[in-house]
Amino acid sequence: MQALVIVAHGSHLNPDASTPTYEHADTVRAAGVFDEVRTAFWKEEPSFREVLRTLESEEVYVVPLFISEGYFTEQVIPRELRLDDWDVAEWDSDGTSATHSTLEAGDVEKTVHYCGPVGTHDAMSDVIVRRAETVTDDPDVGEGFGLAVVGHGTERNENSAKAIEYHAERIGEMGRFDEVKALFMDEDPEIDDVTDFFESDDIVVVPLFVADGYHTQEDIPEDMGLTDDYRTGWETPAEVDGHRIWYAGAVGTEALTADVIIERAADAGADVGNAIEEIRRRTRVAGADGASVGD
Amino acid sequence: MPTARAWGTDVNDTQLDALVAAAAEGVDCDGLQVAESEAGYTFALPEETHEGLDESELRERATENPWFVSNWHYWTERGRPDAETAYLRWLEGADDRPVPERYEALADGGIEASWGELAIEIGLGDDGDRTYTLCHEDDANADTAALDVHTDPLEARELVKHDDRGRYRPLKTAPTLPTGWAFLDLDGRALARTVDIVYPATVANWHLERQGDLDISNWTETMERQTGIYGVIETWDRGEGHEHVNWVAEACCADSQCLKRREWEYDDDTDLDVDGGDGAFPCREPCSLVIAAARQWTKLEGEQPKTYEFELTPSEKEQIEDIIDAVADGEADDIREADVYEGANRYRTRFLRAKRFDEEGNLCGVPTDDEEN
Repeated sequence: MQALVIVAHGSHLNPDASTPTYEHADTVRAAGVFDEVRTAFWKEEPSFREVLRTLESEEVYVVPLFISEGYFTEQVIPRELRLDDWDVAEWDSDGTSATHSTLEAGDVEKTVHYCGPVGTHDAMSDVIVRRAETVTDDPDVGEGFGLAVVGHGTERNENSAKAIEYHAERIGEMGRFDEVKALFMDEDPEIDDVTDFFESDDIVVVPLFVADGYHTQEDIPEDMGLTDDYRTGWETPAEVDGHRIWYAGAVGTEALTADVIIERAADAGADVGNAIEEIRRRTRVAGADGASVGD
Repeated sequence: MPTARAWGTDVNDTQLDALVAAAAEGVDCDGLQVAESEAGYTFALPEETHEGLDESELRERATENPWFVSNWHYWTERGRPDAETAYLRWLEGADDRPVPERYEALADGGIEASWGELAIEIGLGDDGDRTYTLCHEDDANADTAALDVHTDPLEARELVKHDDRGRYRPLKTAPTLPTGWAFLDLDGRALARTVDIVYPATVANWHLERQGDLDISNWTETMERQTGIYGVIETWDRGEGHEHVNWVAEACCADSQCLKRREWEYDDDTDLDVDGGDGAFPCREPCSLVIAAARQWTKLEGEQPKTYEFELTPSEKEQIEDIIDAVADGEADDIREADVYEGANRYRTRFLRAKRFDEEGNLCGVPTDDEEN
């Protein structure tokens, strides 16, 4: 038997923090390739400490629903899961290239395949693009559009900025959008001046965050000038300095994120059959009618 | 094909075939014993033994005792994990109640069990199977037509997220489980899954405890493990006793706050002085809420006490105590608007504030810090 465990931050205060995690778990569950699909949280239950003991499977694929490599993926999660032989060197990562590591957990007789975070997987670039399609309701969005990938910046973790830049560069290389930039909340180039960085009239802004919360629903919309007060909401697109800003909200809420979770597990050796293709097809929102032709 | 009836229970061919197949290795379950030897099959119940049977005689005896046979099949032939089997058996008292008594109870209104605030009713399904119903204990006698009915365990995730007052429940084992819903017609697997969503990992830890294998992590080792913003908590332990941890446990871990039974102590040699509670399922280490609160207390408790002088009437002093009690016991919202006889009544409290706070919000005009600061 093989299990998939999605580990995420969760919240003591925000009831919606766990929602994307649950939704992605449901998408993976519906694909039917894991005997068990579970979620575990740093701030909610089951905790990282106690999730493994609730599983029947001997092979467990643990995928962190985190944006970047850093404190949580390198220290907190392995420690709390009791992956006693964990050594961050095993990931041999440059900050965005961690794949997986196979370990034993100290409290259960199971093999744990500990995967790199969702946010740094190559397929996350596709989720960012898909997010742009969803917010513009245009499956071919790109021409005439700029794309801003937004993150925290380096204040707390230098890998956080690396992940943003990594995806911005990859999407830029796709040649799909007229311009692609990495912008940050707490360092230059700053999201406050978003319109200064783009020539395109239309700019899609996708924050590389797991869940919507304070940063994505309060800070960033106000910083960009979408609204003076987040509580009154904003238009999509919103007019700012002669540009149209299509603000997408947290990328982690995009249904295709479930695909990245499965890909992480597949990279670590999980047998996932054709679930990757299946999820890519089923999670499409924009142009969904066209995509279903020939199904 | 059904072959016999007793209190509505049939033995089906699957169960009979499985029993015959299992005889070679021997069957021993809740009073039913079946064995195979060169002399033929043996079929034994607590008060009768039949030896030297051929296969058709074995099938006949089995068919005449559908409760024992279906009971054996239910508990041994379903491929359940050990913890789940132990839990489901415990719920119906399988280790203590003989099969006939248990089946009579299952058939006659069902067996009631409880787990935290959950009421679980176990009824008899087809062919001696079980069917489980799950709801809040306050709804145990409610007409299910009046409840929001579910059958998919995953739906419990949203159901238990907020309490009946609409407030987010960050602690799943807080005694604030909402009412008004029921899961009907669950099989054993779905029952265990639903319980694990309502009260995560409680069955696994309960089972480990019964096996004598619960891995308890006491306060000191849990706090030593913390890093990042929680790394500061271990500095709260200064080798000056564990009274502060008593206060934490009294504040957070009492049954009025959490239904888990606290099994962790200060350290391997030092038990806490407050009660761990009476819950069915254990708490094996300080949870994330305790840790987050302890971080705040570590900061606050780093302050030195000072002497303040306030002028209050005796009733005002008691009123402040009433307000603290009402907030600590979660009763502030229950005090009626016009009940001015309660110290924590809103009008009474507003009067106290109007009279005793200065413009900066200082009680009796006494500044928190010295003027020169």
